[in-house]
Amino acid sequence: MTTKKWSRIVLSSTVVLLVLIAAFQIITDPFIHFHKEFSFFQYPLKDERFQNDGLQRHREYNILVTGTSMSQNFNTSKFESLWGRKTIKTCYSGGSFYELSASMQNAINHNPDLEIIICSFDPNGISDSPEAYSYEGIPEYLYDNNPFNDVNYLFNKDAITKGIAVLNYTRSGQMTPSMDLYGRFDNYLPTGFDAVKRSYVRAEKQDLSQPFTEEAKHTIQVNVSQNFVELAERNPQVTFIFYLPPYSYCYWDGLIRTNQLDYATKAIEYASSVLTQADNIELYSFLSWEDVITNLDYYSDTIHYNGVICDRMTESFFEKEFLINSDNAGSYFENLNTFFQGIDYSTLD
Amino acid sequence: MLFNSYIFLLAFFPLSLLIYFSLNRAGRYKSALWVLVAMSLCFYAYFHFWYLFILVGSIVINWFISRILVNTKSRFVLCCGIVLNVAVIFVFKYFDFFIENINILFKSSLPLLNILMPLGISFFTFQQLSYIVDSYRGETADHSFTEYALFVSFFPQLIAGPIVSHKDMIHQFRDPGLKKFNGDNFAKGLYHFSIGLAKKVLLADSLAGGVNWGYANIEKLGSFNVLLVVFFYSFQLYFDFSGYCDMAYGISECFNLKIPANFLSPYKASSIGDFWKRWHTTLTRFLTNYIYIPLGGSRRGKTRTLINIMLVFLISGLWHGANWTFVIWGAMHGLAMVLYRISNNLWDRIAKPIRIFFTYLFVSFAWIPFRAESLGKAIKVFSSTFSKPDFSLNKDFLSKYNFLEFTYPEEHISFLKNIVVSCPSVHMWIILALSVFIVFFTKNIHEKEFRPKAANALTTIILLVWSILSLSGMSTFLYFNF
Repeated sequence: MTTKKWSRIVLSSTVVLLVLIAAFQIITDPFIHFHKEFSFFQYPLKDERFQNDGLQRHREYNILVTGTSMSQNFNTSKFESLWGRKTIKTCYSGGSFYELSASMQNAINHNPDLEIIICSFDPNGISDSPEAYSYEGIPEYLYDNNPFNDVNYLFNKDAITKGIAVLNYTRSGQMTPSMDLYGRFDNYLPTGFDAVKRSYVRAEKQDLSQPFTEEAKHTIQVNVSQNFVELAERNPQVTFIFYLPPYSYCYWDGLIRTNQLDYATKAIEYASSVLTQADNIELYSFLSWEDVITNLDYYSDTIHYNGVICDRMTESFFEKEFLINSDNAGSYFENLNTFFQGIDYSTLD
Repeated sequence: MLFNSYIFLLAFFPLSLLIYFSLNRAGRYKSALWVLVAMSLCFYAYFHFWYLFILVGSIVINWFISRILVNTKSRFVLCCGIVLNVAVIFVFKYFDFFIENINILFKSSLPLLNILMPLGISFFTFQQLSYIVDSYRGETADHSFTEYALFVSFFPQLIAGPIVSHKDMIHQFRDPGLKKFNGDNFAKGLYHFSIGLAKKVLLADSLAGGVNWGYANIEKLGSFNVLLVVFFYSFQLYFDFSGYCDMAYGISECFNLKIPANFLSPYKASSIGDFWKRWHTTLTRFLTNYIYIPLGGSRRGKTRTLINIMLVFLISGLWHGANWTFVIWGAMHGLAMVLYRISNNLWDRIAKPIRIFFTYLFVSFAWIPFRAESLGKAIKVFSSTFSKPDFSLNKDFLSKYNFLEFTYPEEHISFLKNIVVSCPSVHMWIILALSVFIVFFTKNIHEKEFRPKAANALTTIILLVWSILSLSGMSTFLYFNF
């Protein structure tokens, strides 16, 4: 073989193979990035950080349910029946405020019909850095509008297996999961006292407490206002419903034993006061929902609750129950610390 | 820009070749060289735009110094040139390290610069240092600025070597016979490049997962796991550097240019001296010509020779990084070299396979301080290797070797799945066996002649496509069980 022929074969074969692979990815499009879902394909929705942007881009909806794993068990069908609006759910497990904010802005950019966004306001994320993802390797190339960095998706062996999965999923007769099921975990994770106790070990009591300093206040202020308040102010046509999720009493027990409760309640109170500065933001607090947070039958670990609770929260949003407003905010947060101190934690011994 | 990136593979490299040979074809040889300089600067600027000014400034200033030296042979100007280059590298690479040590020693709190080190500064500074020394010796009189700028900035060797000499390159820039696209060289270059790319992307980067996890979690690991981490790092570094060198060599060949071989199957070395004739050979050449020989080399008695050797290896250690870990690594190699010298060929009387084995063992253990981020960490790794006798394999460590290439077929073929169920460490052993086989039993690209055949065409296609598809992946975002 001559080197000329060798080079021609190698170059042409490589180019042809890459073109075929790119075409395969564009057609199967497992991350719903290039086009709407084809009716002749069924898509296994299992990779939220890779598929959320595509769903936000190409589905029709008026309500977006988003947030961390706190929002994963919401039934979008419940929102649709109460509000009469099409709803999708795109959650980011362990997502930072920065990541959630960027995703919400993207959804607004993609969809002019978006009216309401429901998002968790995790006490765990309040003090995070204002411009940080919680994970490395976030597929930003899917979220932006730069067509060139889509090579990361087109020529990506992991993503190709997802394209093959679309074909296999379709061939096996399975259907694209509903939004109720997308990202959901309460259908496979057990709940109850034993399940929670498996992941919760009571900490040794500590005397040293964490002071709520001006520096901590500043971080919270920037984190909340930059990511959520400014987002809401930029988009006055959208109503933002944030909620403080009902972490179980195990979580609060942990904070009390490690002497962090005082810091946490002050941080939550301050963050809430910053968040409610925008007119189109509503804040609901389920933190002190006593009959729920003390009943571990709803929980799979110290903070994650099941869909029953999500449905009840949905009803509360609709009926504006648990709403924190200027009238009740002062007394609510003032009593929060005492409320958690007053819970009977002896059953956790 | 990295060789193992989409932008380089799909745009920069083909475009550079196309423009370079199109200009040469039109007889615009000078423009072609300028385009290559410009492309090299773009390649560099892609990392960090502002550091382009440091590279360009360094090229221009050193060019003027070299011209003065050619005309005046002034020892003073030579000293100024050397001091200036050393000062630049000191500020960017060693200043913070120096201040940190001053602060520790005198319990002071002098501020650090905290500046990002320009990529490849050690390489282009050393190259230019050698150039001004050779200008003082009158060896560079007829070079043009374009030739000089390209000799320093030529992108295949700019950020990670080899450290080329003007004697290697400038006559090639002038050779009219090398201006025309050459199918033989292109084929050879593409073949060598694909091998290098695969070493880097498919092997080195794959091995890195377990090594990084191991070094971050060393306290969780028993001795056997730590030993595996140490060996895996030796292979990671081998494939990383060997892959880079092969890619640089292959790219240059596509341009009809030959850069010196930098990597000659170093783990097949039968002594530490032999190792340094095979590992980063152009650095050894530089250190020999510009430090060891000017210090007196072996001409000033045995003791002075041994001191010179130690000095050269300490400098080599510092050259690799501004941290005591690198100094210790250099000292370990220097000491081994000194012991080898004073053993009076005792070492060479041992059977060759045993010498190779122990040389590899020494080199692998010496990589511990090279890889560790601090001396404390290096000591912890050393001590964990011997102090925690435990042969069980850590599950998290093993999971770092569950590559898609293994897991995907296993999900679909029950026979393969059964193998993994009965031997969960099988992936790790396959990777280890493959690494040992390639490192010890296959030939380096410089050791075998390329002949265009269907088999190596197929190999090239597979390696190129497989590597390109492996440049990006899907991270898993584990948050509890969700």
